[in-house]
Formats: sequence, structure tokens, C-alpha cells
Amino acid sequence: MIGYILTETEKNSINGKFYSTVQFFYCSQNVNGIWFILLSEDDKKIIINTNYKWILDCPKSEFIPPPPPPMF
Amino acid sequence: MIFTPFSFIRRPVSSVFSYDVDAQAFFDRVIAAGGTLTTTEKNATNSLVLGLKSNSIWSPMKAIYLMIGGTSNSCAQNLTSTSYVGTFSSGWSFASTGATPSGTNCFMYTQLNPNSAFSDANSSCFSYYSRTNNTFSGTECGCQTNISSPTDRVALSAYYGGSSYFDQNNFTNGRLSFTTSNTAGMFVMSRTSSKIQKGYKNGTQQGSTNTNTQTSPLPNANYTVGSLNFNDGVNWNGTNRECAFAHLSDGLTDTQIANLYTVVQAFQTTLSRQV
Repeated sequence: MIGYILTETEKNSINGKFYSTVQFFYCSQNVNGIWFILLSEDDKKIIINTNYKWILDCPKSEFIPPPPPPMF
Repeated sequence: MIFTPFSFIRRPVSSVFSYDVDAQAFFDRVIAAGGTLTTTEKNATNSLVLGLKSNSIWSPMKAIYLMIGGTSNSCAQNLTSTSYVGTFSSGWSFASTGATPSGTNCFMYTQLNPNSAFSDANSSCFSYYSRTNNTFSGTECGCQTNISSPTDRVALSAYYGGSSYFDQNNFTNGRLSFTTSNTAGMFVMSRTSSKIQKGYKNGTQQGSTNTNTQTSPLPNANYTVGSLNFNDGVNWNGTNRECAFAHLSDGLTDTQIANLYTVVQAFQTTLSRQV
């Protein structure tokens, strides 16, 4: 999955913030500890009309998640 | 005898149609939240509510997410009450057919804490109507109090590494699992006593009844749809299977679950999104 790469400061500025009435940003760290925000096409259509549209100009890269905990 | 002219013409009977009061209240909440519903969606919802009530499945319900209307605002609404309005993390896609999580750290908080919302740890039921058939290893819904303490885990996985896994605060005593050949359908898990936990697909029990004793109260965490929430802010094993219905209720019997499936499938069929 392709995501937008964020700096620590950028992550802190959006993580948990609502960009619509019932939708909030949830940032994720990849396998190397780099912060990403993963957005759907529906998300992008909303965000482009908000003060968060700068996210769409952030560099993009493949998101590789860290391995899940041994729960299953 | 008094002759009344045109008395043979019957007066029209008043036929003002009104929706069930709970269905109408749901429509009002969707509209107030900025969503819209088609007449077909309203009629399908009304029939669903009436069906649940006539089969005595309405009262046990804590929350129902219909995933209709094609927007986050409409999909977030709980059918049963003003409580437990969902909030979506980034990554979801919304359509008239349902809501689809990305499969990577993507979830909907229901704001429902099973530990406080349920009065009996031995009576609970959870469902997820998946419109997607795939072999993606993910968890459709659930939560547990602590990442390091799975004794109270509630989790429904339609597919994870080759099987379906259903946990209802009994994981560490032995879980319920069965082989799944198709992940499209309505998956339900229900606990009706400390030693009876059952899994169902499309109204029919799957695998054996799990008689391992439940190990703890229900989890003290925010129940999520689309992934497993360990505690707020830590979500793992998300699914990418499209959701067209999800619910939480007190434990339901075999008959109630068969009736629930019949009512839900009729709802989906009216919306042309049944699988």
C-alpha cells in the first residue's frame, strides 16, 4: 500500500485530529520506524478541501508494516 | 328511507405511510449528521427493524452498524440508539455496498466498551457481514484490554492463516476455530453461558461448540470494527474485507441467529448487495 511519509513534527500535528465529523487521522510507523499516513481515495477528496491538504504534497512510498505481535 | 346521492362511492381510506419509530429516528440521525438515504435504503432499514422486533432480536441489541448511505457520516450511525456513534480512522472507502477498510491500521471505533455495556460476561454476540471473499489474514472486529493480556479478548476473524477464529473472553482456555472456504457471508459468534460459545456463518453453526470455560470479564476497551483494538491507539491485524453489517448484542440462541441472518440477508437483497 502506498502512503505519505511524515516527519515526526508532521505526524504530531495530525495524529488523532478529525478531518471530517467522524473521521480522524491515524498515523502508522513502518518496519523501519518511519511515520506514514495511509489515505483512501475517499479521504483525499475530503482532505484536499481542508487545511490538511499539504499532506497530499508529502513524499509517497510503499508502506511495509512491522510484523504483528504473536497473537494468532 | 333517506337517499344519499353518490353514497356508492367509497370514501378513500387514509393511507399515510409511516416508518417504524426506531427506523425513523435512525433516518433523522443520518440526515442530522449530513448523510442521505435513498427510499430503497429507508424501506430496507424499516423492514429490517420490523423483522428484528417480530423475531425478538431487537431488545438484545447494543449497537447495529448498517453501513448504508455511502458516506462516513451515514455509516457511523448506530441503528439502535443515539449512543455508540462510530468514528473512522483514515483509510476507509465508502460505497452504497458498504464500508471497506484498507487492511492496514484502519478501523472504526464504536465507542462501546463491552466491559461496561454488557451486564453478563456469559452473554454476548458479535457479527460482521463480509462482502469480500479472499485469503487476507485479518480480524474483522474486536478488542482486548491489554496487548499483553489476551484472556479477555473478543475477536472475530473470518480468515487468518487458513481458518476462521472466534474469541469471546476464552482465548487462553482454547479458542473456537473452523475452516473457511469463502470469507464472503455473515459471520456471527455467540456466547450463551460460561461453557457455550458457538460460531456461525450465514445462520448455520460452523465447527463444534466451544465448551472451554470463559476466563474473564469482557474486555475493558473500545470495541472496533475493521481491526482488533488492544487499547486505544494500538490496533493490529486489520481486515480488508468490505463490511455491510456489524452488530453487538447479548448472547443469541441458534434460532435467533438463524432469524437474524434471514432478516439481514433480506435487507442486503433489497439493497442488491447480498453475497
